[in-house]
Amino acid sequence: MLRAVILLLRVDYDQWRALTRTALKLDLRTAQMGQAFSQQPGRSQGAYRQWISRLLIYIIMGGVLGPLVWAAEDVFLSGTVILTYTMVMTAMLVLIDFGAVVVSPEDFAILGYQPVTSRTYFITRLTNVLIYTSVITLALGLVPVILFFFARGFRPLLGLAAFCALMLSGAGVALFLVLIYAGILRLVRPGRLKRVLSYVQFLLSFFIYGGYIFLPQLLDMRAMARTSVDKSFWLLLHPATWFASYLDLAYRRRGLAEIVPALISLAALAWLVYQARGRLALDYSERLSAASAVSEDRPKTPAAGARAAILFKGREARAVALLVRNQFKYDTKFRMAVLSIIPLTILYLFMGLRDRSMVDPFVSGGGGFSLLYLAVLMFPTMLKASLTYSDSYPASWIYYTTPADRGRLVLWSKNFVFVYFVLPYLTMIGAVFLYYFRNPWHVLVHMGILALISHFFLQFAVFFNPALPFSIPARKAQRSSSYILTIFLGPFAAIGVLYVFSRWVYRNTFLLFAVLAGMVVTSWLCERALRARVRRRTLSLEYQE
Amino acid sequence: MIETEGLTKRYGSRTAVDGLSFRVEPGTIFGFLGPNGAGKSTTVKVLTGLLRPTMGRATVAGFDVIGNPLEVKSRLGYVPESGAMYESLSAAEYLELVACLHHLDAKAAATRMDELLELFGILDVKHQRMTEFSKGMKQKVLISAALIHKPEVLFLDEPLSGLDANAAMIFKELLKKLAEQGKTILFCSHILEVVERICTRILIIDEGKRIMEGTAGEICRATGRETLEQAFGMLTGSRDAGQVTADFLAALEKV
Repeated sequence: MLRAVILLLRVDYDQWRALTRTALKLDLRTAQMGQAFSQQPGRSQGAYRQWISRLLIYIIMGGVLGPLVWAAEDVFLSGTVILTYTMVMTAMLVLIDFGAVVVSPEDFAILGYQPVTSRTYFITRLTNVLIYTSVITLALGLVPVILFFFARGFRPLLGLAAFCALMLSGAGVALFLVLIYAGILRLVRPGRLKRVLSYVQFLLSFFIYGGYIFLPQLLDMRAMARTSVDKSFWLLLHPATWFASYLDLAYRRRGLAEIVPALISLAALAWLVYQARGRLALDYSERLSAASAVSEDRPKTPAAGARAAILFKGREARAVALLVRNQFKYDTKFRMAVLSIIPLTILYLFMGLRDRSMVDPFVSGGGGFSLLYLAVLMFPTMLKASLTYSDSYPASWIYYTTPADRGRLVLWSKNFVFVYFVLPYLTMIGAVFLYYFRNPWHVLVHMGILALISHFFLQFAVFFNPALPFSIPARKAQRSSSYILTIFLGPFAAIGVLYVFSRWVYRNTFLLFAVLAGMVVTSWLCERALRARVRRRTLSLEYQE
Repeated sequence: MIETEGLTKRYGSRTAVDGLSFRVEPGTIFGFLGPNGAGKSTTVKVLTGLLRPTMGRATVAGFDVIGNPLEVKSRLGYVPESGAMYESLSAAEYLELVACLHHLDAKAAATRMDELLELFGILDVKHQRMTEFSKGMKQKVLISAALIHKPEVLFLDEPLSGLDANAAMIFKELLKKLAEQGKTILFCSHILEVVERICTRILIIDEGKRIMEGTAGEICRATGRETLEQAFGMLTGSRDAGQVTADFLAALEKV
């Protein structure tokens, strides 16, 4: 049956099967690469465990929308909200792990001289993308879909409709992102391709993060339980409503307002597949491959090395300064990982303005925490991860074959990140606070506290993972996992710490100075402990090939 | 057989291969030489279908590389200079993939895979992932992948890179036997002693252009040099090695 379908598509079945199996093996194994080095025995079991635990996280993330299926009267409304959520999340995961899933530039170097047609390659890639996104989408929507089967008595047709809507909407999202991403390849010359792709990803992340952050705000379960929506023209411009119409159709509402959106969803999918056909072909992989072979067009900055040396004059310090600065300039992934804090900051700032939580913590008495603090406090941890995991890890042999002090390299990389990334970022946030708080003294003290807390975060991150800069292989999905964990766990840490300060510490000047002094001393003690630990740990570090 | 006519490849304003014409007969080990950046790898990439020529024509095994790419690709074996391969696979999995792409019968492919891996002494690690392999072991897998489907034409871009002395010796013998069987072999290498010893004809290119073609003896005679290395140095305008070394050491002393 499958063979017949594949042959009908004029694709070589044997090649398709071999390439699909290979792609899945590679996805599974590259996701596990980082652990593979540290856990040689039982490696494949570790890979499966990692995947299963990741899927469990996705199931829990999707499960939070389960009550909506019970509560909402209108299946179209609950379907639209749930599908919007799963579509946004799928987009986020595809976006973050995009390069590895859709068109791997290395494919062309390996398969370009094999007798494989572009059509076979396209169907293989499409299969791979759809398997990957289907698994994620299914995990995210599993709980709501199961509930659709049972929430209104046993309704298999409604559950089936929910399942179809979920899977097709996930496929649609993946294909849409493929189109945007790969469409750029047609327009941009290889010398600028990597840079442009990274900026497009950067821009898209505004929408994705925005969708993620604003969606929960729309969910007022009690209100939704009583609400049904009018299917206005404007509402039906939202693609999730097209797929949510399947639920209405299964729930015995079969008017034009249900049939037309459902048909639009199928037409949109057909159009996306048709458009993606040319974009995932092997010659597109060729263009990506050419992009990685061609050096980027960029102006020369001859004084870069000299500028880096102003604050970092020691041997290891200067080496770290040169390395991190140049990685930021030339390594697109690292640059984007650092810059990805900006969309989060802007979105949190916007939300702070909307819910009026941008208030002076010295006068708020424990209330009014802007989510902006989340970005501020999580930034160092995100930076630390970006500074450690890199595609440039093979070049880290240089730390082991030179007389450089590895402990100092680790510590100076932390210091460089703090001075050149965290402090400028805090200064920028400080300017925003000054505009809203109108009290320079409050802003100065508050920013000092935030700087110390940020430094603690950075110290903890280095304490638990004292790795040399850019020395560990980047794992696929590692970024998305860390983002999701950051988004989920961050608020607890941020709000807890700042509530204590605003509620008690800022209200008492003596206590404030005592805590500030205590924090400085603790930071100094932590630094000493960190130095000792880093020196000990770096002695046993080994080059990861 | 390999044949090119006015083959040109440009990257923007830079011309990597400039109107190159040559012909390699079956049963020949054809040494393809040039200094770094001369256009050797680009030429090979055009001939293997990895790049499209900007101008000119090329045929491999009687098929046009642009007009019949699949016919060409099913008849060639290629060892790329980059060593690109899916390293997360095991050697067996990678060779099985290549065999599948060439529609080899699974049983025959397995037998041939074992023979090739045995030949290079890595049969016992065939189920190990190649991320754990040394450069030489990966090179042996790449060579095995290039040979598994018994291609008519072989493109070998720095095939000896990373190979130990024993494997290199076996590989050179293998090339001679393959040439005797009538295979066409294009051999790129910077190890001129090896090229001089095993290649039946040699083409030297520089800046994408043909400089000289002939047997090693013919090239030496034409340039009035004793070895291919000296002839190569003269033809590609390299500076006197002794002088360059002296200048370099002097510069080091100054720092």
